[in-house]
Amino acid sequence: MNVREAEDTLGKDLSEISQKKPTKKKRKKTEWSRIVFIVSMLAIPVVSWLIFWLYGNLNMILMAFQTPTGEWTFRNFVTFWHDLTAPYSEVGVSVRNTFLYFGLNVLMILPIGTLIAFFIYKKIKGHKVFRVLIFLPAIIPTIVMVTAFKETIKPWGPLASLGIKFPEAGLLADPNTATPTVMFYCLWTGFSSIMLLMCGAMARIPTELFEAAKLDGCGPFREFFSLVVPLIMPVLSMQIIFSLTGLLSASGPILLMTGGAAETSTLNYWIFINTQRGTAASGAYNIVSATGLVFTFIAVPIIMLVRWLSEKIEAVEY
Amino acid sequence: MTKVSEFYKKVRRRKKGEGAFLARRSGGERAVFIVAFIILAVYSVSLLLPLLWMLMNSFKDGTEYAMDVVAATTLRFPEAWKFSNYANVFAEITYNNVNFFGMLGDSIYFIVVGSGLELFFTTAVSYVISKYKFKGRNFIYSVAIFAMTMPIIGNMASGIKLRAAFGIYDNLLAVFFTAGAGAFGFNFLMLYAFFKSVPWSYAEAVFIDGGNHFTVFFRIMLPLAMPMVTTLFILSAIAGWNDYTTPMLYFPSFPNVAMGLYMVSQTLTRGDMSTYYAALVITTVPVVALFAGFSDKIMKNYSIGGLKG
Repeated sequence: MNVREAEDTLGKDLSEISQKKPTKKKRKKTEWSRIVFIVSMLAIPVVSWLIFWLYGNLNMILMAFQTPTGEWTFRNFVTFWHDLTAPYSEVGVSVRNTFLYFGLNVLMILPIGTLIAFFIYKKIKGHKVFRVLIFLPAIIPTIVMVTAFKETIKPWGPLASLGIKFPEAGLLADPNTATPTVMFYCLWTGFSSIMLLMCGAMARIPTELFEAAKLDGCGPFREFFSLVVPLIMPVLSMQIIFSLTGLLSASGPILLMTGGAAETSTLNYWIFINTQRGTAASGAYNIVSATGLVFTFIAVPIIMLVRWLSEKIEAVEY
Repeated sequence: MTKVSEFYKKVRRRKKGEGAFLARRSGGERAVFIVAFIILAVYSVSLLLPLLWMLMNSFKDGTEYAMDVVAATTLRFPEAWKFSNYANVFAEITYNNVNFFGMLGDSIYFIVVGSGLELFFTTAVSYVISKYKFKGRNFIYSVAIFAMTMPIIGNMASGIKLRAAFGIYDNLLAVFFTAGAGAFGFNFLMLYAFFKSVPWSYAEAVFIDGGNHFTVFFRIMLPLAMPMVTTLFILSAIAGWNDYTTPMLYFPSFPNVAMGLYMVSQTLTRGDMSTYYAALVITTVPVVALFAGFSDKIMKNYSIGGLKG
């Protein structure tokens, strides 16, 4: 409703009202009610954020330099370094796996998801059904998807009933096959949100461009690589950043898949499980904080570099 | 009148022609699309099959399933459909003295109170930051953006210690204290952009009618934002329903469905599996129902999330 409509509803000329200068007292009252409103809307969230986000994170830095009893020390970092460099080190394995998952995301899930989005955007037969089915893994609880997957690859699962042989101990018990199996699961269920995001990005490309390409005799491959990909580059590069922050801030299905056994741990999972099972008195919290701090210091510049690089790529305006 | 209808006919004809031109595919192109169709179909079936297999086995008797496991013949329909597995879920599935009803209750509590409060605070903050000019406004906005993109690793231990210090570790009341901190997440950006697009003249009309700032927010702005708030709430409800890490870290005595089922899965025997599958099916139903009811909104929202910058 604008002022004119308000005038019609009220049946008065509002310009007269607005021309009357408010008295000093009235102005002060309005100003006060404005301040009261702003403060009451912001107070709880800001205080809560200051305590649980800001102080929570600052406290992590302090904890990294403390013993469980609160004395200052560098011991946590020494322990971390020993954990990282020891043979068969779990931290080392976690770092390696985190990089593997990042590679999987950027080199497999992102390109294939974009390709799927392209075909759905081009209205392939049954695209509406495909869109819903491929989105399902984002909706169905991870515990359900993981259990279904784990049972499928067991020696008595549905695939075994069809005659496919699986090792008796299962693929997830052997360090040689465990991480590739979890990675396969991530790939199998990983296209949901990428597909939708990319479909959204492609829908914003003007159809004239597709018509022009078609008139020039452009095939689907040329159309995808020379038209679609450059135009959705900003969304793609943003996804690379998100996949990196996502990997560092969530442990994915590792807990449900293997509980970190058979060399499947990732950095975030390692921190999660040591926090969850550890106690404050054992010093586990301090070592976890030190490890987190080291990797935050490594991750932040990487994220900033990727952002800076993605901004360097000339954004196409359309 | 005839002129107008003729004009519309022309427009319609041309539109139809345009669509057909883009949809027309040459021989080679058609081959590519057929191959893509086959791959997508196989992939979609592969996503559904394990779930259907689980659904089928959730109706088997515990002993029948155990025998199928030994003989590797789990891919067959039950001899006798045992619907009572679904009733048994509520009697048999327990973790730490919390039964399945209790887990459902915890899930609903975390979603309705936890996510609901968080979204209310997000709406309030994004409205004030986008519509009111005051000292520190830009600062709060920049800090929120900065905090959103910082990948901070390993602050969980600090979170537990902090909650313990306030006496809200493993305490359901904690959500009242921490919900406000979540007001500066990605939903903030979405609602901020929404409120930016709402004209301020609505508020002026309310002021003329004698309303105050609270009236504007609760009677005009909040109802206007309701479609978007509903979508965001459904998305966070689905995420909350499926989240097992938060209760494991901060509410170990209050397992929600996702955490409870994971914990229960650690001690299952083969004979228990049918009932466990039934529990998984029950867990899936609410999210799939929510998705079915709001799929258009959810899908639209996901694609908005991919906006540039």
